[in-house]
Amino acid sequence: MRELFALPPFRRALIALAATGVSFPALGTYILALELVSARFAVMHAALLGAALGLLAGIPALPAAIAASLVAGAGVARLSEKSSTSAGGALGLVMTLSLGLSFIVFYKAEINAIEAFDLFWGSVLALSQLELVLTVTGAVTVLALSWLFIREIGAVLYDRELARTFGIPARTVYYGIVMAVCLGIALAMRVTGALMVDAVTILPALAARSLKKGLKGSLLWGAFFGLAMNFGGFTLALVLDLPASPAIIVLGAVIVAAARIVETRRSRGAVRKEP
Amino acid sequence: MSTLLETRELSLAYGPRLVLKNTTLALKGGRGRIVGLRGPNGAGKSTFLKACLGLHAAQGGELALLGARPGSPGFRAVLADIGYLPQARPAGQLRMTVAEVVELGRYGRLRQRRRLNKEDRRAVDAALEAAQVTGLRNRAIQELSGGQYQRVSLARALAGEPKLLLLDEPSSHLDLASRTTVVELITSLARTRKASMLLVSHDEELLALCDSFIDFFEHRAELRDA
Repeated sequence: MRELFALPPFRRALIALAATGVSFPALGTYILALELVSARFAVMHAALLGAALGLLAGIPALPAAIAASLVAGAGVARLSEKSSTSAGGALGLVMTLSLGLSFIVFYKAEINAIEAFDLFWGSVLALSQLELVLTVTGAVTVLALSWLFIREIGAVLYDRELARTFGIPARTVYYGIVMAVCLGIALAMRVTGALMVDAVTILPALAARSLKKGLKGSLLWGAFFGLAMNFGGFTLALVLDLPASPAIIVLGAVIVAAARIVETRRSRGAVRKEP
Repeated sequence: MSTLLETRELSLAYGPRLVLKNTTLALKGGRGRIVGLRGPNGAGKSTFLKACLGLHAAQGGELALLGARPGSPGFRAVLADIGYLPQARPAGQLRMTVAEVVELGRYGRLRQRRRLNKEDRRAVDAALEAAQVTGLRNRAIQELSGGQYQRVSLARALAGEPKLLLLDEPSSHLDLASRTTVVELITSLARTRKASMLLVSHDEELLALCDSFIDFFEHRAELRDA
């Protein structure tokens, strides 16, 4: 075991799991509250376009993908501003447009599409030093902003229009939330792979939501479940010789199911107690 | 006497649909004035309240609430003196507790502080008590009935110790028992005369509390004494 800790990829994996485990469940809470569940598909495709453009310009794929995700986030926020909660239609538009433009870039610039699609097959054990630095910076940024602006974020997630009547710059806060979600999804793609981004965002938030009412409680318990899922899943992967991301997501699903059972039992108990 | 509300040639519209045209009003009043906004559905009462808060931009003319124009640099300070109860329940999925929602009403009083202090907590507790929802403080907002939710919204509006309450159909869409509780609550608030109220309602019992009315009809609004 000690030899494993001596390996840089293993150490980078542990740091990334800790950073994303603590921070990214907050994004899951925001995704669920704003009904941005389909955002990951839109952002992934925007990231693909960014990676393609990055390869075209000769810059690393991940920073280019992050930049494209942020632009997509601003677009999604702009398009969804008029609807009170859901941004589903806007996300669909961003997703298809990004995919269309990506394939035009692949075709016209004769880029190897497989290189750009590499972005989708992330693995926590394959993180480069640059990717780790970007992941930790993103995680710390999300955590710091969530902590500093918890009231503003809570008000906007509760009701954007009402938030404006408190004197909160609701539009800025909403844009900030959507862009933080997009940043987190772009980073999480390298940690877990595109199809398992939910493992570090939505699953811990879902488990927390089952057990805890209130924004602060959801964020704290989300961080707890995020760490438990990441390190528990990673340990399972090592012990049982499994790929890391699927092990994290399977353990996450089991924890979410267990939290749901506890929630159901609690609410049945509460109903029985009521006169 | 200070000016509660002033409009000059105010026009409001929803896209191509005109709601209010060239309306001029001046509503004086110290603390405790109760003004009813009456008129048929779609006459523009709720839109007018939203325009007062800067949530709906005027198509033309001017509007000032408590001496400040919505959207002007000084209006943020005015918002701290206003409690607003909207007509619709938010559709958001965030599981906030009742206490967290009521604390939001204190936001305008926090200024540079990031945390609630003792005075803020006292005001939140007082608002919960006034709205008779202290026992619900740890419940998730989604778990509440229509009447409970409306009382919590009132507590949230009161938590900022407002000089002016803007209440949009507070007793609508409630069952009889809930409506009675909400009407009693607003009646007792009105009797204390601690805050002025702009009250949109079709409820005769609530309208009976008003000192004056703004009647909305045919794209116009006129001020009348009770």
